[in-house]
Amino acid sequence: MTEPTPPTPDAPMRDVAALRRNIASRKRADKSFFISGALIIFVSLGILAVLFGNLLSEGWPALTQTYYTKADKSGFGRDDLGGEITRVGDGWTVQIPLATLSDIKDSDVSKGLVGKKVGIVGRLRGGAIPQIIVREIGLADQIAAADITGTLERTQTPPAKPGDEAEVVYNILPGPLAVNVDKIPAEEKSALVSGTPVAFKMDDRVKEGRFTARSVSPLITKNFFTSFPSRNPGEAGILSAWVGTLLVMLVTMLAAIPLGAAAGIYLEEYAPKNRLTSIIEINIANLAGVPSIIWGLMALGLFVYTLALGRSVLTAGLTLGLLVLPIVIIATREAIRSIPNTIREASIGLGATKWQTIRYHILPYSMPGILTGSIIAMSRAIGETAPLVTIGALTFIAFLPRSPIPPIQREISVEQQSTYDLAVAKDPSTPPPQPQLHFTGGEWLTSEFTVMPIQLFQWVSRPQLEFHQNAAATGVVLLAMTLTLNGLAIFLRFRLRRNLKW
Amino acid sequence: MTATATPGNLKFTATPPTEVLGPVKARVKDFSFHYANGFQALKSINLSVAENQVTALIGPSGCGKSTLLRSFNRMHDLYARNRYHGEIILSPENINLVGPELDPIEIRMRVSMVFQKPNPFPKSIFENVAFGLRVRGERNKAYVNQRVEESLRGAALWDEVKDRLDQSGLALSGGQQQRLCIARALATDPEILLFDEPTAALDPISTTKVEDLVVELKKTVTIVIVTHNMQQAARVADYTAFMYLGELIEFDVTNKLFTTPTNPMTEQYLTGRFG
Repeated sequence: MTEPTPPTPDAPMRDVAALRRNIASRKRADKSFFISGALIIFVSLGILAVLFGNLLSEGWPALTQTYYTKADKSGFGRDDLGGEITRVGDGWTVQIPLATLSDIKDSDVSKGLVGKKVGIVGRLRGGAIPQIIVREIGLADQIAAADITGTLERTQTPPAKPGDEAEVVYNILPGPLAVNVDKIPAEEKSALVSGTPVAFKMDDRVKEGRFTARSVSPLITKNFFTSFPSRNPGEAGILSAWVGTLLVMLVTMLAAIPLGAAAGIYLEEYAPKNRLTSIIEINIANLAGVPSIIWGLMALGLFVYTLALGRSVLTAGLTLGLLVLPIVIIATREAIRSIPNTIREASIGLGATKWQTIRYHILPYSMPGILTGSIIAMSRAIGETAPLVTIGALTFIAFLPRSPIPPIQREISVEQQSTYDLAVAKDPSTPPPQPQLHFTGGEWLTSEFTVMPIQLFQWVSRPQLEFHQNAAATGVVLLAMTLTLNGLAIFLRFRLRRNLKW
Repeated sequence: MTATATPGNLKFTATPPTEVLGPVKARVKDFSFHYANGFQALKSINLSVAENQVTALIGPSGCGKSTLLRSFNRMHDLYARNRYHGEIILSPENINLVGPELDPIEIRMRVSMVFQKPNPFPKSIFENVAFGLRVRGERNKAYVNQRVEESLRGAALWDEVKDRLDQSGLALSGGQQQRLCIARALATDPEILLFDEPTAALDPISTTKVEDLVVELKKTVTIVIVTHNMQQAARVADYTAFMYLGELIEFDVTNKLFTTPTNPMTEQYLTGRFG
């Protein structure tokens, strides 16, 4: 035991003031970094808010309703009649509070109708778009009792300033009016709900003056997903686009994930650590940053021309697969690196071979990371446009590739038929060929295609506002797809990593 | 380098190896080891490991005791360009454990290892123990079940986990995890069991359990244990080797080494004056 020594009185005093000045100056640096960091975060949040605000305001009409502009001279016309559909007994009626047909073309047909008693017949022309035909009552024999009836009146507003065109407006008197849409087939009616707002459009290319009623309920409806692109923006849909995206993604997935995971495993577990390996590693990181259009050029040369795969789903899938391969490789390597060496040693120490260690430990434990990386790679690939434009994806596709799930068909092949033809020519009693089983599973790979971003681009590059609405709707769907994929990645990461604690 | 690192005025000389009394399980002959970066971690080690006895390797950090231990089942082969020189002869076949002609997998099937930090696989307790059998392609379910139970009993863990064999091995406490690792190593019925500081990460009670287990296990298996803890070596080991800077300084029966060391360096280390 030693006695604690009392402090010596002549020990020099510490300069506490200097100490505090020193602390204050170091804390200032602390604070300035904090402030600049917080500032950057706030600015980024602001930009993000603007981005989302813009996106929502652009996309909102796509989510809620669509409408036609008056300036449109092509195709179907403009806001003519609007109202809500209601169910009356077994029939459907559209209550039209205002019957201003502001956009009937000032044609002879229309002029001839002025002052006459006119009627509008509910008609259906495919899709969920009831089509209305204006006929002069008495001339048309198919006018139903409850269709819109009234007197057509023409009013002309003088131009606001000299040089402007006078605005011609047709009114059906009196309003409100009701239209019988009883002739809507049952399957169309099932899509209609009381209170669904509808509008009637006029097609002035048709002699009688034809109106189409279009649901102004959300644009992103079943129809949007089940219709091909069309010259009529109201009828255009993204069927070929989302099917194309799906098929291309399927090929991308099959190409990129096994290849990327295998490459990652090889580089981490097998490759000797030498100069060549490090050059490969650096170049994989570099490949991830190669502009996507360069990949498109490479694919055009390699897949389309050299390998003659055509502008097909296969070419597109392989191109995007190569594009995202570095992402999958890097994700795989990161995931494998996070597994502690003690696990490898434990497995090897028990007499497992390298492959057994990988198969039973490395691969399962790195799976969350590989999956997450792969999904993020897919969500990158899903939005890629440039390489697909380069390899020549079509912008307007009104057909679907054959289903990847092969229907089993019995067919008489061309060879069978020609053999039979030859044989019959010699011996008429030859029995006809028997149909044989054919699996038509691979055809989709060689089919031409379009994908969502290209469809979006095609619509947005057209002058009509309606197509811009469709583009916005496509954008919303695309965004929903990528957000879903990213959400799935986050979910998987949390879910699968819960059991892995080192 | 060795001259400056040698403490005090001690002469840095190794005492000639003592022969063990009973049968020898493994004999280390002029064994040297170089790491990939060229560092020589072991210098001409000569040592005999007695069958069904516990041999402890002690010494300060960096003395090469873990390196020597990991040579017994060729753990160093995992990392490229590590080099062995000399021999570790395994009885009774007289095969050289570090010979390049011998498949390290064969060695690891006969020489198992328990690591410093408990490292169960993030799988069920059952699968942890069964893994060694699974990699051998063992498909007989009844046999696997039986071996798992025997191994868990052997590792004194059976009573604690018999009702939750399907739970994750990571759900166990640290001490239980280490005994699970011991059971995992036992499941393949090894001839030599290597312990690399098995209690370094454990609390005193778990440490006692593992130490009791080591003493119990030597009835069936030859044990080599690396430890930082001299008391532990005194408690569990029959023979103790003191190593310093890659050399074997003294090797003897534990009692003798601890009470009457012949080499003054051993005495200095045991009395805590360096290391």
